[in-house]
Amino acid sequence: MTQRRVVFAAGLGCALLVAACQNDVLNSPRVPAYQGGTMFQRYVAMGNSITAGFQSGGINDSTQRQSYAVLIGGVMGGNRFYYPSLNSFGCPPPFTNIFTGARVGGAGITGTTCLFRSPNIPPYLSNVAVPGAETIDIMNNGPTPGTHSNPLTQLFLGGRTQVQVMMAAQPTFVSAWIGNNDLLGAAQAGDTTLATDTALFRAEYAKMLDSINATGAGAVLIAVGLGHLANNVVLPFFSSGTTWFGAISSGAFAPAPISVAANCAPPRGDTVLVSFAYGFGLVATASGGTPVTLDCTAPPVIEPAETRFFATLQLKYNAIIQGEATARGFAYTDSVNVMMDSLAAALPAGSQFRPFPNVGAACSTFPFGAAFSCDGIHPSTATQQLIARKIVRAINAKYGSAIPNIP
Amino acid sequence: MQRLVWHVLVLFAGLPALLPAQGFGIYEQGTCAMGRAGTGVAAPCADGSAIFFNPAGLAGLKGGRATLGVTLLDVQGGFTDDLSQQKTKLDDPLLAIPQVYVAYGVTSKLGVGLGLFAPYGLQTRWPLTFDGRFAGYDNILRSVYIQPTVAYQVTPWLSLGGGLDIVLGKVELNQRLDLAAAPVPTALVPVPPGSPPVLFGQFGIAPGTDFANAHLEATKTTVAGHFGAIARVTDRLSFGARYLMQAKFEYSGTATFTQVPTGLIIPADIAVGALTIPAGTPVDAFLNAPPLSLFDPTSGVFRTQAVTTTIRNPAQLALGVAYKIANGWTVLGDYQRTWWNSFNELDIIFPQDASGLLDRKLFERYDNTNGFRVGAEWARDAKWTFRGGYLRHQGAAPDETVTPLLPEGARNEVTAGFTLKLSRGLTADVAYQYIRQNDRRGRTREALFNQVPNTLLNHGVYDFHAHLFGVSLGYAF
Repeated sequence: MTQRRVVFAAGLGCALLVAACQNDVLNSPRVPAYQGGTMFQRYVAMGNSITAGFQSGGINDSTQRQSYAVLIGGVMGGNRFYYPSLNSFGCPPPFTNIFTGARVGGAGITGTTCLFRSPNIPPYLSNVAVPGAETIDIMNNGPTPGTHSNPLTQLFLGGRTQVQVMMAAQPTFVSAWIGNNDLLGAAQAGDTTLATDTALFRAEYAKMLDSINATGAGAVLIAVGLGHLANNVVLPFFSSGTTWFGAISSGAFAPAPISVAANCAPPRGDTVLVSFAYGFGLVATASGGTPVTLDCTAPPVIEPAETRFFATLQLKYNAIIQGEATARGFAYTDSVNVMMDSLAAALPAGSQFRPFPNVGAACSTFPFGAAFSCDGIHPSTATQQLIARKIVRAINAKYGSAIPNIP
Repeated sequence: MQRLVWHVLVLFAGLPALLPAQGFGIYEQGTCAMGRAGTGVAAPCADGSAIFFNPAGLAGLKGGRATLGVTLLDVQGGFTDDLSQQKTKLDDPLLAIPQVYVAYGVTSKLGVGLGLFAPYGLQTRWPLTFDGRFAGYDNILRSVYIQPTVAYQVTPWLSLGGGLDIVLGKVELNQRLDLAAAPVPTALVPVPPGSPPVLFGQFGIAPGTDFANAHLEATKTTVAGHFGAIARVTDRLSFGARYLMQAKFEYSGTATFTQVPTGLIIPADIAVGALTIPAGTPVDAFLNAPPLSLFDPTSGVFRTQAVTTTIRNPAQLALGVAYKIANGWTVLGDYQRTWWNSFNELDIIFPQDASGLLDRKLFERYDNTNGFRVGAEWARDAKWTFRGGYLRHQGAAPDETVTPLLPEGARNEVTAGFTLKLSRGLTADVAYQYIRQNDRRGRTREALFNQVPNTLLNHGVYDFHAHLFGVSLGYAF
């Protein structure tokens, strides 16, 4: 009888014990529920100004949120996508009118204005892209020679490199869109020797991919460019010599004492590119009363042979990227360039890629065309959205996943 | 004897305990009582541990008792981060909690004794890779109670007892400082009045960038009292109660800081207020050179300096009942109330720091707790006695205060033990206790700028369990 009581008491005790040991309701990390979603639990984006969300010659929290990377991170539905949010008005604040130099924030705000990051410091960064970054900058910071660090490198990465910050985030998936500045910087200077040679590009790009491989993450590699140069699709930041010849000859900038050389006239002028910064720099000088002449043989004007060089270089870069993607089993997409080609060709002519900016127009009216923000280089909000859609499709096609569409 | 007492004190001072009871309370103060889940307010063990479990239990003692025991703690636990799903394990070594009790029955009614025990204390040690290192990676809170005790049998059924506790307190906190969360001196980057200072994190410094190690250490001795009563209603049934007073420590000690290299380099010229930091400047050099000079031994914010804080060991009340069934069986039940609400805010003050940057206010806001214990004892014969028990108690820390310093919660514990009479005056006690704490959500960091924390800061789960082994030798004289 005593033994029974002891057994009964022990049984009751165990039941109480089990009942009492219920744990609190505990959260678990967000695992996307769609097909293949596990791979996208933690997404990290590497790149340059386009990925960072630079628009209209500046960057702030508002433009950062428009980045294709933020949009993709949102629909992937994994852990929160953190970007290095800048305090208003930005660093530097975007233009509201590039022709007057007015920027968000109004009077007193200049191109050197740089506000710090938001005090809400995220635990890790998902968008590690830095404006101005070239391929070498993915694994190197200034003051190492050959690098292109700037104040945003410090504000976004805090002395670490993109690769270090990417790895610290322990990604399950990475997008990499790097190489545009390896070409663009040289193009803006009209100097092909400033472009990253393919050997260095290949080496630095491979190092970046080695680091991604080390994390075990999947990846999508995005082709260099915003349109195929080989298809004569160029950023609206550049206008043809012919266009400038016509504008100056017709007195568009009168009474400023600006003239144009005959070497800008067609047919040669059709294959010569004059950057906005150079052309309007001359206009500004002339407006100050100093006579100037646009000569389409002098740097930084891009002459036909140089145009062909950059077009070929873009193809070489992208062949390297595609080869690496194939070898490593990563997704590769050139669909953004294809899409931009289409936008450049879209009617009405000039609505997406204006051949010459709408001089004096406020940024809200897209003086470089609807595809671009108010600097003629960086995609507009709408284009960022289109880019995000293209990249999501490329990822789904490669990995058989079902990441939802960008709304 | 004096030498022995000194050695025991040294042993206490060197071996603090980790979390065996709610809050930073420790209830494993005797191997015999441990075997029956700590019950014994109404019928303390005859090993002198009544000095802790109920001072009134010394009344009626025949002859003398001396007991020396130790409880070994094998603590397992860790923190699993929500996002990374990586678990960081506690880095605690095998810990030991000693107890010493000496008691003597002066007359048939009067008993006296002296006990050394540690009813409050903690040690949490985390690896330096753990994000919680910024809250504290090696934290020790130690209270050694030296309690001379006297008890008297007022009537045949009622005994009263009490003791004066001389409490030796020590607190030690080791933590890393995160540059990302460190404020930039307003002399460098002014902010509007009332606004929080700019953080180095706003200059891109990543969270988790160690730049300094802080060591805070302070001691204080205080006094408290411990009282008890036992009512023997019948030969079989008795009730007991005891009350341990709150002990308040106004600690005063020293804080020392050492610089931890970040290895970071400023990649490009950057303007910080009126100052432009040139590209290539090592962050470590920037922190330790004018105008900051953070680690200057005479004027730096992080120079060695005084630190004060106040901690209260809470009062506790225990009520119990014991009933002798038959055939050597006794069942016991205890209830304990601990007034943890006295552990509300922890102000860590650096009186010599004019900047005020170092002062910390930790909002603990503990809740009062209730604990329930049931135990049974079977004296099989004159040589062997067996024990078992179960206890459950609530967690003292509210949901917003589950931190690396003390990630505690509600617990369930089972115990077993036995006494073996080795010879006429010598007995040995052995006990085992398993502690299982419910998994609990918590955080690794304190809120910035001494703000009141909330559960939104919680970003992971603490788990904890422990195996306790108790052994003691008792001598009757």
